[in-house]
Amino acid sequence: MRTLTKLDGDSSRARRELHDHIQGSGPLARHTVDSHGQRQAGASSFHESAEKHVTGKATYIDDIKTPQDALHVALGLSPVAHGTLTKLELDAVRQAPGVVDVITLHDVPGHTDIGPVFPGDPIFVDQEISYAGQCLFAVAATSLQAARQAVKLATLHIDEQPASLDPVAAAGRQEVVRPTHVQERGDWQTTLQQAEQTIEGELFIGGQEHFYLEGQACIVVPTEDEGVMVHTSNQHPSETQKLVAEVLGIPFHAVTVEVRRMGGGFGGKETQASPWACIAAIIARRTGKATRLRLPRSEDMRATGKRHPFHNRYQLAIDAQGVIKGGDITVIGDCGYSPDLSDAIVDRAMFHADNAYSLGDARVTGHRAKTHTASNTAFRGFGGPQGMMIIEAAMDDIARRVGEDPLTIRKRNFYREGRDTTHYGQQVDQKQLLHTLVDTLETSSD
Amino acid sequence: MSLFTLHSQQQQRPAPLTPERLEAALGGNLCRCTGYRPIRDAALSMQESSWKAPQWIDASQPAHTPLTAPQSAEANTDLFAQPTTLSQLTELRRHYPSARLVAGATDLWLENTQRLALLNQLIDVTRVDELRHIEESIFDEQPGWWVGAGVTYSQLEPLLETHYPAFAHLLHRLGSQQVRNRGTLGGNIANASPIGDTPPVLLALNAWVELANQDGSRALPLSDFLLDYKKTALAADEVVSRIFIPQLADDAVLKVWKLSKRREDDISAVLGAFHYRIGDGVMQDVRISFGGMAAIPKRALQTEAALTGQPIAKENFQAAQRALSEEFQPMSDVRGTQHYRHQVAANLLERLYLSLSVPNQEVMLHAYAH
Ligand SMILES: Cc1cc2nc3c(=O)[nH]c(=O)nc-3n(C[C@H](O)[C@H](O)[C@H](O)COP(=O)(O)OP(=O)(O)OC[C@H]3O[C@@H](n4cnc5c(N)ncnc54)[C@H](O)[C@@H]3O)c2cc1C
Repeated sequence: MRTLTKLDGDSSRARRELHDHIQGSGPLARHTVDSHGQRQAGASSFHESAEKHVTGKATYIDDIKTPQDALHVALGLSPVAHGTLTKLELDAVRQAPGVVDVITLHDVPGHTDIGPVFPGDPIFVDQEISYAGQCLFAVAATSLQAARQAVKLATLHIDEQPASLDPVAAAGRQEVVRPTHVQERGDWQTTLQQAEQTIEGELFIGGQEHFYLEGQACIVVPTEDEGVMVHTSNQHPSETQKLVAEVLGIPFHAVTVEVRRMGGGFGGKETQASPWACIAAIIARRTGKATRLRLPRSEDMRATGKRHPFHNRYQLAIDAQGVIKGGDITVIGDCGYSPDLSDAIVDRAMFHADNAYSLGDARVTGHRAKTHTASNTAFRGFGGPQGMMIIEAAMDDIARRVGEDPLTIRKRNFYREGRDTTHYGQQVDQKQLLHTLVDTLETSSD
Repeated sequence: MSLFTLHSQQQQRPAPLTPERLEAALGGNLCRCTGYRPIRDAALSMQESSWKAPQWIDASQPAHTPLTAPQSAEANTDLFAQPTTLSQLTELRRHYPSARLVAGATDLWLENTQRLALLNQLIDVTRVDELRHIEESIFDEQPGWWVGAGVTYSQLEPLLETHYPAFAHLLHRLGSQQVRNRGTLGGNIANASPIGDTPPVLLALNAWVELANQDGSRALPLSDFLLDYKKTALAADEVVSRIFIPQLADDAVLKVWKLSKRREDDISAVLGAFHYRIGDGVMQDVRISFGGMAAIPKRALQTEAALTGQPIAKENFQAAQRALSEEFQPMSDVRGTQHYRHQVAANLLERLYLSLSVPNQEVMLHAYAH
């Protein structure tokens, strides 16, 4: 079996092979063949909007038409990473041509903290500035250009302070957005002490911008009574409904959220699409006008969080064959200034620190470092890749140490009979899958 | 986006889809929705089906009546003019001194999106007939080509592929196909950016620039056109009309190396262009220029002097490297520190030396391995 997507000559063979596989008695069969024996997986079919996508007719948020008097919002973002906002002078902004409304934290009718799981994300800065790009105020004007021009007229009085940007140092000082978690199994200290040999290493994994093709965007239209209709490019519409309702101080049922299509998200619009909807909703309710908020790409990149960079290190006890007997792994996620989803993301990194290998008696520690950057957030894999990287790096280090092929070392360390309990106590019950999969790959890969 | 580019590429220059052509078309693709592999596979599968426009394609053209001559409106009203002849263009230019010329807008428009400039008076040069041609000619006793300022990179590509392979290779590293389909040679020169990619090459080729106004035109060497950071010899009533690129002598060699952080869609940190002939065992007609090393793209005259008339020997190139480090004081910015730029520019001389000492062994990056 090769790949499911390749469309050249090779892939028709791959398809045949796949077909044979799924018609057979393999574990995949029951999922990929329907009751009439028709194959379901591996058959390509058009996306239901494919034609609209390729002709540009698909309606994304910014394509939605609004009335002539709709407002456009631009945001005032902090130029510094850490400091105290002592005074915000916005008179010139209010008087700028085209400006209809200017809002700050004091204009929020309901909740001002829009942290998705844990508190910690003020909708606008009150006094403490926690990252460069944090939202200070919002301007609504008759055109986007007018709103953006007006933002530049603000005078910010900021008492700037040194920024903490090193997650390792931050973790060392116990500056964390959530408490440290530890997963532990067996007497790993003794195993390390009595090891035939130990090996250690360190790995830094950089962050990553989501680069959704459609940036953060929403349109909020005031509806009857106190309600709002929210069109948003958003991976978590129900959370946005809740936050918009809380920020406005209205019941949930008065908020309707619609997501027609995403335009890319990859995690970047799971929690971090909501702030813009909340801001636009406040303005829509205050002015009674349809309100459009689309972040220019450069501001989108500054204001929103990314994939968590991680600093990971390991110390492992191995035998002469390079088989892991036990060890100690630490992962430090750079969470940025607030918890956002980092608790679960760092957990996921910890849960994946074994990837496919038995760690034996092991401890895995995960720190949620707090730094003065945008709050890092969900991104495909949700911490998993960053966790796997450390043990994969270790596999290569072990291979070099014992002088064997890295694949051989990996296969030796796979979960298997007798070595089938993870560092967090789960019994791995489909161990054979790993061996079969990798054996098949080994014979079929180029 | 990239699939549109691929589609138009296949329509304009139908040819078998080689991995290089494919990568050129996909170069501007920054989206990671599916990964690149399925997009590549889908593109390759296009070859198996002959293209015909499906019915759902909207073939309608936007309706508009271009403004081609000045109107008697006040100076500060909105203006978008699309002249079709050079004389219309220069007339408009004289009449609206505060209007901006726009060609592909791949650079100009950043003033709007990034710096919020209004740009409400624009004269589009891309429909001007005289600016759209490439003409074989003799100028200043040299054979070569007059290239209209409005010729896009993509339109220039066939000429470069035939006569200046190293320049053509650079084009694949300049922006992405989308940018090359819109960006013009005239825009790249008029822009006078220190890190514009074509000026160093054109300097090494001894190119000329023709400037036109209502009274006529004048030609000057490109080196006299580029004055200082984003400053040129272009007068307020002039436009860049054409660029003369001299043909390479039979035994002359042109090498162009661009250094940037990404292969596609990235601006140079440093770009080196090298022109020379080897005659009687020594280097002759040596013209070396760099982008990213000074406020403007610039010839490295001292470096050239260190090599001219000298045999290909390590000590001569070391002398050239010393000259190079003395004649440029590059700045430090996001693309590289001063030290980095000095080092890599010297390394390009080293590369030149190595490629001259071991001919036919040149290592160039043509495509990614997948
Ligand atoms: C994504 C991206 C990647 C890029 N990558 C590169 C790169 O790798 N290398 C590189 O060199 N550049 C790059 N650029 C910059 C740009 O594409 C080039 O500089 C291009 O040549 C500009 O040409 P244009 O026709 O778009 O000029 P425009 O943007 O239309 O104009 C640029 C300037 O030239 C003036 N102008 C245009 N035509 C004339 C004329 N006939 N007479 C007088 N003045 C004129 C305009 O008034 C303006 O000031 C990139 C741009 C983008 C957006």
